[in-house]
Amino acid sequence: MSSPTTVWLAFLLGGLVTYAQRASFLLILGDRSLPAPVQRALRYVAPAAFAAIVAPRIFDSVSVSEFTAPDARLLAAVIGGVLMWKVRNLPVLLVVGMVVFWLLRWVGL
Amino acid sequence: MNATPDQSSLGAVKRGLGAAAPLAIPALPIGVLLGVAIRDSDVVGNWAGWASSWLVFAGAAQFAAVELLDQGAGVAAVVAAIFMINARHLMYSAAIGGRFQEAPTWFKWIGSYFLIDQVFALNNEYAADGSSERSLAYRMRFYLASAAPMASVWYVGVGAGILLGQFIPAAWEIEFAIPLMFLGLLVLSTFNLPGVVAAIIGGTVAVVGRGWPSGSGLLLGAVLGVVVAGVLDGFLEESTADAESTVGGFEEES
Repeated sequence: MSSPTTVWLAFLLGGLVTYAQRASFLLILGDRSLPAPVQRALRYVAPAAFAAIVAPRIFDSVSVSEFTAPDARLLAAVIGGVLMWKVRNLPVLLVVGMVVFWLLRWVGL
Repeated sequence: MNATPDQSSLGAVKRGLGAAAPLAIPALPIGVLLGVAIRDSDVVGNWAGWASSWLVFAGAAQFAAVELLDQGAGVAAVVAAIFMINARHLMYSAAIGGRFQEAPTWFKWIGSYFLIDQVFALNNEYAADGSSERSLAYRMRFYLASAAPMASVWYVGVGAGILLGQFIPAAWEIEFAIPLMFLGLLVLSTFNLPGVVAAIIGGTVAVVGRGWPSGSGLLLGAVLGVVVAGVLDGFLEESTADAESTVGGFEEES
């Protein structure tokens, strides 16, 4: 279980790991660079990780075995995703997405 | 003051602050949301959560860490998740390292701490004012001046969210803004076919593995997505290079 010690230790070590990543080339490796296949794969850390964070929170009401009507989260995320793809503006997505979400909740989804 | 912009320290600082302002303003509500998530967490205390904003200093990783700790994840799983989500900083550091090769050591130590997404965006070689035509002194001042507002807004925003969290009714479900924010970052970071494949694999595995212990569904999804997309990217580049060489295209350095 997560105790206060676990939490502090996780943030301390997580901070050290993050600093090491940021410092890696600036401080340690100088002008050497990563192998090309590694560089290539690292470009996709952001989409893979962000999708892995988003998906379970959006599809949490969807069941594989039985039909479930899409709920407000899923619908708001689809609308927000299309909007974001068009405008590429984070504050606009947050404002419109939340308003759509609240409207859908209000109509009972 | 009558020196050229390159010699005037004030010019570099002003330009750095000005460039960071439009990126710092939207960071504030996201910091507040993280503060609310920390406030609402049964596991992450307010002080530890606020400390994460200057210890880890990376929004996406902090959100994920709070989420994982709430689910009962252990230290190893949380640190591994932070490593995965922040792995892009290796690329930033690699891309920017050459531009500060001759910078003094103190700058490299301090600059590394501030190498967040927005600071990288403003200071890489393609950014308007980070061009190598500027002197090293100018680039260093611009770098630090563009980092300062980002860090300040982040520490204050997270603190404000923790303090104000109790006044935000649970019925508003304001925490839905967090998956929305990641959805936005996902759209911004998905720029080609392998990126779409990485997202589909990462998302699908994470949904299937949402009940697995210590956030391992998220981790496995991210790792599989990265590996498959990396291989696919290499394959696509190879076939493009083959196509180019048959047309007689020149060889690119890479």
